[in-house]
Amino acid sequence: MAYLGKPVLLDELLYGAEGGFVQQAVDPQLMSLLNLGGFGLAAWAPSFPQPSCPVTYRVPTVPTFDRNLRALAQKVEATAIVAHVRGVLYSERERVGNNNVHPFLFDGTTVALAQNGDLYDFGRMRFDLVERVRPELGALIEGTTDTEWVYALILSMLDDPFAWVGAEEMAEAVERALEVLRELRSARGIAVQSPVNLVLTDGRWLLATRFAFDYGWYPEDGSFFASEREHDFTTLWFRAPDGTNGGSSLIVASEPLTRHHVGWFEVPEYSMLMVEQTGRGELSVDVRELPW
Amino acid sequence: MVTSSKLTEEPSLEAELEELHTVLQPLHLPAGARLFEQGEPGDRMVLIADGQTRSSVRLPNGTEQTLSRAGAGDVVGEIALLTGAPRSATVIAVTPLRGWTLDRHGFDLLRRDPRGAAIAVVQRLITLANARLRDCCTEMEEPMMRANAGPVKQPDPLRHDVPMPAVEYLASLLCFARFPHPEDVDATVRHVPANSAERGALLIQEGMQPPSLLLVARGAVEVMIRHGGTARRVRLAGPGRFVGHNGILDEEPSPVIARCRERSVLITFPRATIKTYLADPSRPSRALSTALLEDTARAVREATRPMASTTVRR
Repeated sequence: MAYLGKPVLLDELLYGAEGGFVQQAVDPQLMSLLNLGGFGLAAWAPSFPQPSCPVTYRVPTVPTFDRNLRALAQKVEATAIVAHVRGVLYSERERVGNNNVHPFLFDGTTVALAQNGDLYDFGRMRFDLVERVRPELGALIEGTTDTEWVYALILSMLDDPFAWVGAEEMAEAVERALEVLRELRSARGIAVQSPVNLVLTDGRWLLATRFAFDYGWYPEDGSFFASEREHDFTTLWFRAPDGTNGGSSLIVASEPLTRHHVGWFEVPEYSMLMVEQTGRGELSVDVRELPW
Repeated sequence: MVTSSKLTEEPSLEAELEELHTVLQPLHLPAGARLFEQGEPGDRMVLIADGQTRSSVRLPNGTEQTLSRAGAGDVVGEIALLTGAPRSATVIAVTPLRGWTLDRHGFDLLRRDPRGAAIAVVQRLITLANARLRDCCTEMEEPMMRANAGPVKQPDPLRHDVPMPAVEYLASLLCFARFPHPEDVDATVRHVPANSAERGALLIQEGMQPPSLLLVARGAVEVMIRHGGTARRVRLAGPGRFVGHNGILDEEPSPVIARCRERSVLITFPRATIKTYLADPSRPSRALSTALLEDTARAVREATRPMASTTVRR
């Protein structure tokens, strides 16, 4: 989930009257699995000390039971937020811990990233990525998730990953990173459905992708992913309470945060949502097709 | 194929509906009665013999907007019943209403019913859902700029280099999930080919009549209305979804283009084969007919989901 716009109390988005984001940990409507692998957020506001540097909160526990989070959410207002509940398979092979909780935000960089996705057979690609990730970024990877590598790969596509970048430059970096991933998958003969729904923000702009490699090619391994599920192309939605272009705030989420879907729009499959502040307190919104 | 989009238009199905009294329940409602509430589970459809209904939706600002009215011969509430989605609108009887209710149990009976009356009703429901799908595409098309259409590209030929996927795999797809017997899946695909197409291949061109209904077995096909620099997605057909309803089921030019978004394996049902299946009383044909009806309803639901237009790449 991500937000950009007027100051909003975290509580409103995380625990809204009609069911907020935290509920998606234990009661997602458009997913078959619960999201029990941890919770994280990064939030920006001009009123914070060092406003370019977000407040972050990352725990490997289920947010439903987190009193500290609720207390914090009732006090903090932000103008940009990215929050994530981590879904993992119910298996002892999963690595649940602080280092794998999204959003990722490397020290010294300005952009945070979270992902709903899963690059199939990532273990076979990890060492290929070493060649494509800048060493100074590779050195910052602490966890074991594919997401942190994708994050490092996207930052590696920038001229200076530690400088401020615009939304357009970041969109190009995301597209180039997806091309690299496609190339590496092809070289390894990996051709199984792999969603890559990313959300990135630096507090001033917001990007979100709804994308999958090899959609419709299920693994033949008897796993959870081995056959068709109702929403197996991970969904992405947005809501702009006072209009898409020229409005003053926008929420992006993997499923609507309200019981009824009234007012929510789906982002089409294989596309990228780009939201920028225009400087007059208004937002511009663009949905563009991702490369073939 | 049946061409009327109303149940009571000629040829009238009143007699068939009466014959199916074990499947359909008679319905009599006073004016003002609420048939469905937006957001509720879709547990039944209503076939209207006499009377009028009004459907409306709640808007984000709390006001209500009328979407449509329905009358004698129309069906309301079928998309939610056939797709399992919550009700997209509230429907109210604006006059006294007479008709029939078809609930989920009744539909499951209809699915297996080999009587001519059941076949005729399923055929008519398919025609009606297909007409709804065409209406959705037409509505999407109107606000879009038609610009620089350029020369019309012919669809790319399908390749004949893949075997038919295993029946065990096909049976795992949602469109075959309600087939009462796995051998029925085999029976419906035994005499039709599987083909492959590469990512980017054009399968159906707007304005042309496709020769076959395509069932995506693996991969994904994007169905779009695309004009100038903007595109609207009608559906993304992944495994177990059909492509080419408009064009095959109504024998009219396609209002959409369909392209492989991923390399795909497609099961190809020629128009004549589909026509035969829809009229055939055998168990596999009945199962395929109702699967096609459910998929057409699903395509309508996907086409009407509130969705952003995309800026397309040249």
